Amino acid sequence: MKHPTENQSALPGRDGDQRGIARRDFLKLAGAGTVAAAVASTAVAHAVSGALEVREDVFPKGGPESTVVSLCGMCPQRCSMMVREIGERAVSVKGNPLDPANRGGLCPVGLAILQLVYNPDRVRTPMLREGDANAPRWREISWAEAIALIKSRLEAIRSGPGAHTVAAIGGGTSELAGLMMARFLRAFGSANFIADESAQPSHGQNLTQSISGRVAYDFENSRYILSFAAPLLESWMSPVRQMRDIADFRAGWLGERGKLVQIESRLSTTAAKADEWIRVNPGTEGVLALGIAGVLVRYQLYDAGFVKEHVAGFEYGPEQKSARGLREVVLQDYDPAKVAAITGVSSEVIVRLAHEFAQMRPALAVPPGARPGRQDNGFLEAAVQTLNALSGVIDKPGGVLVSREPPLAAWAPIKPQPDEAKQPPLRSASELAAAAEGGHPYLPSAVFILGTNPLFGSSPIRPEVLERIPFKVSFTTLLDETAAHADLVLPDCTSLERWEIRTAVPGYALTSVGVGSPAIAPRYGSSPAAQVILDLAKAMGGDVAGALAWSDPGQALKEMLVGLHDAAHGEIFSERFRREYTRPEMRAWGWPADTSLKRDEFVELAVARGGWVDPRYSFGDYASVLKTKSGKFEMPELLGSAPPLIAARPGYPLDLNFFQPLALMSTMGANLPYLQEVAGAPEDWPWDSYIEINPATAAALGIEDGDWVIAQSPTAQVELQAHVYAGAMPNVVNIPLGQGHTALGHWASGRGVNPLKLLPVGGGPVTVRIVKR
Amino acid sequence: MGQAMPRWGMVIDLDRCSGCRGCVVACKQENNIAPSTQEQAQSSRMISWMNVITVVDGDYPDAKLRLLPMLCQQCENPPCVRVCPVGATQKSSQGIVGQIYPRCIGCRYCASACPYQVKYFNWSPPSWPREFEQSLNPSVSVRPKGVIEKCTFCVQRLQRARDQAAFEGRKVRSEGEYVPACVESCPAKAMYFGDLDDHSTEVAHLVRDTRAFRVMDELGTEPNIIYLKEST
Repeated sequence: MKHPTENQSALPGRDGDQRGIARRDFLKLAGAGTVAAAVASTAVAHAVSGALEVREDVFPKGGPESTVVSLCGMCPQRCSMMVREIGERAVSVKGNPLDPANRGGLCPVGLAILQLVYNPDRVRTPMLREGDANAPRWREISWAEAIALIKSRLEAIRSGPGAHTVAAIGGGTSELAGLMMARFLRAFGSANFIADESAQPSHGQNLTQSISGRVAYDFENSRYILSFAAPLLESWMSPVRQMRDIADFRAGWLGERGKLVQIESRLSTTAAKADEWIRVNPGTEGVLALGIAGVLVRYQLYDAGFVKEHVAGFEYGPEQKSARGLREVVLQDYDPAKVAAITGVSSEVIVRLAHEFAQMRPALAVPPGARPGRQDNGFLEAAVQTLNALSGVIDKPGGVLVSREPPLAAWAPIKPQPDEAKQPPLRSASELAAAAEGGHPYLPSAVFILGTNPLFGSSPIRPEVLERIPFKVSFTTLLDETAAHADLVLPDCTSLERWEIRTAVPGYALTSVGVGSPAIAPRYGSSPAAQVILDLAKAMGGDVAGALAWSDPGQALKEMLVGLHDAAHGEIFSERFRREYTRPEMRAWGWPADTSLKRDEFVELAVARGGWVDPRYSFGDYASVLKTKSGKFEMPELLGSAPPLIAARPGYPLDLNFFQPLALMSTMGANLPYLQEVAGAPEDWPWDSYIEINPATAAALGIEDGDWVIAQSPTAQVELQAHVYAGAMPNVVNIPLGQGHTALGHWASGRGVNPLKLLPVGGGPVTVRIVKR
Repeated sequence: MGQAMPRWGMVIDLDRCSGCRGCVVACKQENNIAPSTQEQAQSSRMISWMNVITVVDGDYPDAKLRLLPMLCQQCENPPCVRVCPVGATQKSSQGIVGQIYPRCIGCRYCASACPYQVKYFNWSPPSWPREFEQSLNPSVSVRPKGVIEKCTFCVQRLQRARDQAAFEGRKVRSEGEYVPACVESCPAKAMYFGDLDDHSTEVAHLVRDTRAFRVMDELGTEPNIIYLKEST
């Protein structure tokens, strides 16, 4: 691990531009003894003046100042940001106040984006791997060679195993590249574009409403939020939007102060800022949700009208003796005393929460999304959505909504390819992993990885899975763990160097489109993935070239924006919207659109302002939000079976909990020094991993704050510092995610530990023991 | 309209703040603060004009955690100014406590005198990887080794606003025209900035809130940073 040393000019400068004499070089020269005294005196003078004078020589060339509206690419929310430029360099970013999702705010991750743009560890040229993944040697090749190589491999696949065996994964933070890649694959003959699904906890809606993705929570119009360990003020779906809306919600901007209740074992940032923190045994949150549901049912505190009309599976008549409806399940299995014994939350509190939930309307229950190391995800999400159905807030103001697709113009239809119909497409990362491992329905013959790093997280795509795919191409800005296993690495741009589009804000119902234009030219020999796909299509010729005939990605993007003009409702981001969007009538009728703009004027204005928004939302549109066969909200059957509880293994008495600090939620964040400085949450713990231990638990183990300890699971162990934290539950230890990279760059690599390696292969729950090092 | 000179001040609403540390990063980017190393962070030599202080009270299950954004309190009666032997730290006519780097002799008296511990000494020369120099803000100088540095309320932004106002033959507006970087991008909109002496501003309205307090007010420092405590 190397760090920037004290001397400016001793730093690794890869631009080939050597400036001044490094102190180290000077000492070497002086040691040789043949150097003229003049050189020595210059170097000494330099060193002395460096210590005493305000240095202005570090500033690169100036130039005219300007501001460009780009999109952040650090997380799936992708805030609209204004980039301040001096000449050709970007010097700061701020939130675009006109973007309805971030309203001028940015989180620390977005604010640190320039450290990614100018990161010294950026991939600078296409690289071909030689040797195996564990000891890779990289050969630098030209862009023309890279395109020719992909072309020849794809042509060989088309005449061999078939075009349908090619797959691509990612696009979560580069939507335009994702759309291009999906289209490229379709034109080539494959339907295997797998979108990055990490930011979408929609499992519950999938079970109950048959809705996947586009699930939204209307926090700003809610009065009571019951969060089941959802990190709402940390790394949940769209952090900036949530921070703003929950601040407004709690401040009572609609007249009455809202109440946020955080149900979690750990005193997280969200728990600290919540109005009430309910300490629950980890992994039993779903049981608590059903306990609250039981009280709602017993005291008839639920929305009977909604349940009668729109809910299936609540109770069955005497003719269906075999099945138990939810009513029976919660009354029989989840009485408060029993739930209290499992969850550690007293029955009085359970009853009180249920009454608050019923009285402070609209009341909303929120699930955490997938949590590594927990097996209760499906159960918990189903239980939480059950509460929302009982509260009757499905598709109502302050409730659970489904965001609508914006009326973007579709690109011209493409000619169907015969290969595509041959086999069923792979629809998820786990299907891709299964296909690679089992060869069924077919072995993927090539995979394109776009701006995602599955090998670092808890994805089913593991190194040995990837090794089975013969040709792996990674588009990436930093050489991450996944790219290190690729055969070909292509340097991708950051979002400030490319055209970008955002068609949805995760978790936010407001229909909007964000547009980002390139603020600066692609640096260090990188090229936007979308542009590379166009170049590749051109080289491929035939139907593929025909389907992607744009000169550049901006042209393709602008073609989509024309649909917003033609829709004749909604509006380009404006001050007016900023002032008025909160008014309920806006949601009912929106505005009359400004029809005076011609198509191209409209597109240019939308690009300049950063996007378009339509505040209308038709509540209670159950035909659109309840997509189940019955057309109703279906109580999931899995709630009828026993809850998946974790029992501690003998010898491993401590429950293990992971949490994701906001600063390290981006896949690239760990290689940004400003983010390393604010890593750790809620307390700063810069530049390293740590394990939170309750003071009593630590005392019993003889551990003090700052001690080095070893956390052992039955299959693995990690070494890290102990943080004795009064906000950790006794016998539950918490480790932050985001550190422990083995690649990515010199700030990230080898720093801290990746605690996910404590989990058994394939996930599953784990308990640990802690020993002092 | 009030007095001749504005009294720039900030209100931080802890009820809205979510402790995300966006302000910390925004400040570093705006003010050319060099990235630290792990060694500097561990020896408390990391420079961070804006910080989020965390205080844990009590034991589980009654533990409470408070998050407090902490920056120079821009005191009306700043102890750091009184102890400086060379007049390097001074209060400007606009109410901003500034540091004149070429004048500073690095004695660190001010750092000891500051009850808020928001004056930072440059133990080593600032250093950036060459690539990061591209994103340096040309409006802010880079501080050498051996001097104290601190929050300036982004005075470069005030200067710019004053230039613009002078060009248009008017005064700088009491709010909205001049905003420090930390306030500008706060995602929870927990920070407000403006002229405390102009009663039409939001900050002047908020300081009269019953939740308003100043940190260590009993010392008589009279901070121009006013916090609003969390509601219940």
